Formats: sequence, C-alpha cells, structure tokens
Amino acid sequence: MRTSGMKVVASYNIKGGVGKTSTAVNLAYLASRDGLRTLLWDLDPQGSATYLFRVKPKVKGGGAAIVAGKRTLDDAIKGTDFDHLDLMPADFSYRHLDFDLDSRKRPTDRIRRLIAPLKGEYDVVILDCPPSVSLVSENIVHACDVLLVPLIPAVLSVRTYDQLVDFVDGMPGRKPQVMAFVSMVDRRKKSHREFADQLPQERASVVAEAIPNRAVIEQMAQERAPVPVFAPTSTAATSYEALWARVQSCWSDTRR
Amino acid sequence: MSGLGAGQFWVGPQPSAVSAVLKELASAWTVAMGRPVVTRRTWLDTADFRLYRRGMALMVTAAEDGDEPTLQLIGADGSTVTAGLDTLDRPCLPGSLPIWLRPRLEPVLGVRAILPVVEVAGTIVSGSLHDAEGKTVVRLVHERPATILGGRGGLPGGLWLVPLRGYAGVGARAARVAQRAGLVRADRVGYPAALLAAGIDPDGMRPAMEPGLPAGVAVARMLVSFLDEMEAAWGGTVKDVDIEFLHDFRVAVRRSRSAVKLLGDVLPPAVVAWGTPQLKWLGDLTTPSRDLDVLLQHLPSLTSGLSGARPGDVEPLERELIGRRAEAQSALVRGLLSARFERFRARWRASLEGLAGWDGRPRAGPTAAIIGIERLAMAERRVLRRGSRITDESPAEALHDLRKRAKELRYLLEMFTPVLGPGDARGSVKELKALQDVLGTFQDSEAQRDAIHALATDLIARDGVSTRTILAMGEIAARLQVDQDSSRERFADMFERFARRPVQRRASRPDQLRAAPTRAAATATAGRVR
Repeated sequence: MRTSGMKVVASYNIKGGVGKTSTAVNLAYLASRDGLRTLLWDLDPQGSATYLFRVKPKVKGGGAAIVAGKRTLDDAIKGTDFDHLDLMPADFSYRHLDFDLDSRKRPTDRIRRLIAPLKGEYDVVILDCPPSVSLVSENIVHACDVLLVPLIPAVLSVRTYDQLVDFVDGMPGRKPQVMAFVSMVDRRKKSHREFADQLPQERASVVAEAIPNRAVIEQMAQERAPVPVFAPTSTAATSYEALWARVQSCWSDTRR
Repeated sequence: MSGLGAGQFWVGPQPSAVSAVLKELASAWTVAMGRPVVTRRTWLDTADFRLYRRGMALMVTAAEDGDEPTLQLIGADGSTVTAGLDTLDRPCLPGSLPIWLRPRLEPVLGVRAILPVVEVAGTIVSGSLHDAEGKTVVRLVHERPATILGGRGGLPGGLWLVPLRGYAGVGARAARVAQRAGLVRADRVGYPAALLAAGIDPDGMRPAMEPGLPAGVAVARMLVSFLDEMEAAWGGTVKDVDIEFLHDFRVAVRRSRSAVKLLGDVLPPAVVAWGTPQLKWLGDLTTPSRDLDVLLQHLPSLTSGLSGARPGDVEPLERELIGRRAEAQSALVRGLLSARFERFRARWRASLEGLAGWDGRPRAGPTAAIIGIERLAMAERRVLRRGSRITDESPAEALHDLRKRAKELRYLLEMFTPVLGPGDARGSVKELKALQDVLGTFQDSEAQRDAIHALATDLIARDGVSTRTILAMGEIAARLQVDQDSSRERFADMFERFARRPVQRRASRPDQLRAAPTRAAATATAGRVR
C-alpha cells in the first residue's frame, strides 16, 4: 500500500502522560507493517520512543546542528528492527530545541522544511512531540497533515483540547486536520465509559476509536517493542489497529 | 529502508566458510539466526527485460513454512520495498500490479506484462547481529547453494550482510570479518546472478551482418535472425500476453519483407518468389489487430478533455473497439495456429539455413559490405527524391509512400550497422527517426480518423447509439485532423534536416567496398550487432 505523497502525522498534547509516545510508536509500527515506508521522529528530549526501539539517544551535534542545517536528518536516521520503519532519535539536547528554532529565520516553519527533502523516501512521517506549548509545538502544527491528540478521560483535558483547536483555527495559512481520541480509558469506571462514548458525539473532531488503559501498554518499556509485536491479540493492539485505520481514512480529507 | 539490495553478498570456496564467519561475528556481537526455510524465489520481468535494463529486480519469495509470499522490488539505487502478496496474475499487466508498486513500475513497464523469468529453489536462514542494547544492527541472510528450476545451473551459497540504516560502521566491521575468513564479495548478485546461472543473456544480440561475408550468406543469416524474432514473439502474440508481442512480431515480418525486397536478388529466385507472398500474408494477417491496439492505446489521450462530451459518452466507442479487437485477435490466432503458418515457418527456416552456411571458400559475387553500401545509397536516394517532390499540395498518399521508403532505409541501416560502424549507424537512425515520427503521426492520424468515421457509420446503422456518442466521435476525429495537419506543417523542416546530413557520406568506405569474401568472415559468431 502507498499514500499519494508523504503524509505527516503528529502525536501531540499540551499535557504530558496522556499516551502520545505509545500512540506514535504503535502507529508507526502499524504503518510500516502495512508496507508504508515510515519514519518516526522522536522530538521529546526524554527520548522514550528512542529507548523503546533500542536506539542510542545520541544525535551528533545535537538538535542545534539539525535545526541549523549543519547535519541533515538523513545523517542521523537509524533503521529499527522492523522493515520499512526508521527512527530519528532524540537526545537530551532537544531540551534546547525552542532556543535553537528561535535563532533561525521563519522559526515556526523549520521542522516542516527539514522534513520536506524526505518526500521521496517515506510515505509516512510520525512526529512524537514533547508536551508543551512552545515554538516546537507551533512547528509541529505547521508541519503535519494530521494532528493526532490523545485525550485522557477528564474534563480539564477537554478544556485544553478546545484551546488547542482554537489555536489551530487561528493559525495563518496551512492547517492540519485535528483528530482527537480518548486515551487511557478504564472501562471499569463509569465516568471513563461515559466520557469515551459521549465526547465523539459532542465534538466532530473526536473519533470513536479509544485506547484502553491496559498494562500491556506499560509493558512496552520492558519489551522495548510496539504492542502488536509482543501482544498482537490484545485489546490494546486491536485498538491501535482501529485508530490507525481511522487516521488512514482521513488522508483524502487532509486540508492543504 | 535497508533490504538485500543495500547489502553485500559474500561467497566462500566452501559452504562451511559461512559458519566460520558467523562464529567469528558472535565474538563481537550477539548473532541470532532463525531456522532454515526452504524457499522458492521467482524473478519477474518483461519479455524484453525492461527491469533488468534499468538495474531493477522484482522477486516473489514463497517459503515452504506456510508464511504469506512476499513481493520485493529492488530499485536501481538499491532501495528495497517488500510487501505481502495475496495473488499475482502471471503474466501480469501493469494495471493489475499491487497499487503500491504501480508508481514505480508503470513508467518502466509501459504496456508490457511481467512474466516469470527465473525460478530458484534453495534453503535460506535469516538472522541478525544485535548490539549491547539488543538492537538489530546488521541483518544476516545465509543462502545455501540453490538450484535453478527447469534448468541445470545453480546459484552459489553465501552470506548477505545488510547493515541497517545508520549502522554502516558495524556493517563494514562485519564485512572485514567475512573477508578475513576467506569469503569474497560477489560482484554479481540477485537477479543478474540468477539470469547468468539460468543461461539467460538479456544482452544477447542478433548475429552480425559480417561485412566480408558473401552477400547471399549474410542476407540469409539476417533473415534467419528475423525468423527467430518472429518465433520468439509468436507465443506471446497467440496468448495475447501484451500488445508488444504482436508489435515485435510485425517488426520482424516487416524487416524480413524489406530485406527480401531490397536484397532478395542475392538469394535464389525461387526462395524469394515463395517467401514474398508468405511474408505479405503475415503482414496482412497482423494489421487489423495492431491497428486496433494502437487506437485503443491512444483512446485515453484522444478522449481526455473533450469539450462537448461527458465521460460516459465515449464508452460505447470503447466497447465497440474492444469487441472488434477481440474478433481481430481471434482471426489472428487462427492464422498463427494454422497449418499454413507452420508450413511457412518450417520451409522458410529450412531454405534460409541452407543458404546461411559457408565454408569460407572464395565465392563469386559481392560481399555484404558492397551490397550494403550500394543498397543503402539506393534506398537513401529514393527517400531524398520522393521527399523533395512533396509540396503542401501533394496528396496524403505521397507522404504515406515516403514513410514506407523511410522504413526500408531504417531497416537497411540497422542491418548494415557493421558496414557503417555503430556510431555512424546510430547517428543516421536518429536523424531518420525524427522524420519517421512526423510521417508516422501523419499517417496514423489519418488511419485512425478513417477508422472513427467507419465506426460512426456502423454504430448509426445499428441504431443503438446516442447522438452524444456520435458527437464525441466527431470531436475525436477533429482532433486527429489537427494532429495530422500539424505533422504536415512540421514535415518540411524535418525533411530538410534529414536531407542536410546524408547517410551516403557516412557510408563511403572504399576499404570495405574492395573487401572480398574472406575465410575469417565465415565464423559469423564473432561480431554481433544489437
């Protein structure tokens, strides 16, 4: 399977601990499993995605060299253990990424321009974003076709999401398609069930494909592999499959 | 994105050498090898090896462990794309390929179908080198010696070292280990190696027109090679694998007809008298199908963006053309399977092979070089004379006739390449081709317009076609008229350009004109032309 042109998906939320990295890692794996040439760019200085794929958290010259164009992404990309799936690792220098971006011309557009040369090489680029509202997040919103937002089942997370949607709407020029899903759903809790069922009905940009709160997702750190690799029949794996199918279905709807 | 295309294949004098390398690698990294799997690999390509010529390879791998077969495309740059494969038609036309392959393969394949070319069976063990983090850094594939299915040859065993992206340093270290253990890096791997092992030579060329051969022997050998080409295209034409088989068949027939017409006086008259009507029959037999193939192939461009038609308006036309093409194909197949064709093939080959042998003793009569230069000069004079007579008022038939003469000159140029020298022949063919393109567009546009008019008359008579379809056909006919007019406007320039650099001047080689048939030229296998 191939997409028409390279698609960029960003897993992003202002809040931390909501399942961004798990989503990015599992969707990247599923894309590659489907035969799509996939790059996962770990933009989070914590380097969790890098760790999960057993790649050393080391970027020669750090984020500054990449942002300044002294080193290309091409030089730093690593193959993972999985066919068609490469990783652009993060290291701790990424904590200065905001500063590095700010020192460039057109700082909000830098990541999009860094990705552009990879167009012939990859079908899908997935960005695993750090939790913050910053120049990095603004870059990510400019760079992606689909902004994928995990929402934990809590009222405050919806408020934050609304702020994000307002921000994207108010952005000049090219806008990504915003797609939110409910993450870390504990089906034993009535409040979670109601939240996961009602939110997609109340907001068109929230899809019904929710990700459950399962121990198997936490086991990714021990297994150092995506969920479908070591627990292919688990509910979590099935949920990520459904979410990936939903993301793919919106390629044709992507606004340019 | 690493695949075997990006790796190195190391072969050793003995199969045990690979085990020694794996043991050595295990002292620096963790080596994880899977279980041996009996695998069948099938390389696919077009009948004229378009993928091979572009440095690409397309391979189906089916393992006997029950895993889903995979289809792998290796690009000219070594990049590899692999995906699971449910089914693949064989032969498979580009439109039936998996959708992810089409953008990369359609520009290379054109209208040609892909077919199995070489099949290899052997045992493969896949594995990997892991670093201290347990991460795969180099993929390993141990290929044990494999056999070519349906053939006698085999592929040597060896070890693939495929560093993952970003781990080239580890790959280089692993390669040094292999080298120290006595393995050498194979320079021909994958598809080219399989072709070689199977005894298939895609770069094989037609026997040369040796300049020093007696003319009759040289012409007979050339006609044998054209018959070989007809026979090679026969099966694909009968089975309707793709439309290029019929095209190749017709080119071989046309070359034969031109050779018999322009050089037949060096052959026994009885052979020429018998062969001429047979070759004409083959030309006539194949024309209706080819004309419809060309029209159907051009239809999308002819119907795209019609100003007054909806997409559905041209569907009855397409259906009608497809139906007529099926009828023409049936008639063609009947002819090619007939006793007449078999008689032609057998008798023509026997006659020509009887004339193609030569013991090297001096013979009376001209050499191939003399006859070639003389006939090239005549054919060129004919093109220049007839072309220079064409004015804006000349009837279309004059241009059609010139096209035929230009084709004859082209075939002679191709046949007598060794006389002219490959460089000169290529230059002359290039200039002639530009003229032929203009003449071809002129005649094809007219033939297709006539066909559209005839089809419209038939469809109206059948009383089931909408007015909109007829109007759309009218618009197509008008477009074809514009194409024909524009090619006529370009003709004068193209002809002048061609006439400015005559072929004759290139062919004036007194040394070759003086050459008599020699013993050395009796071995016609030495020099070869494309």
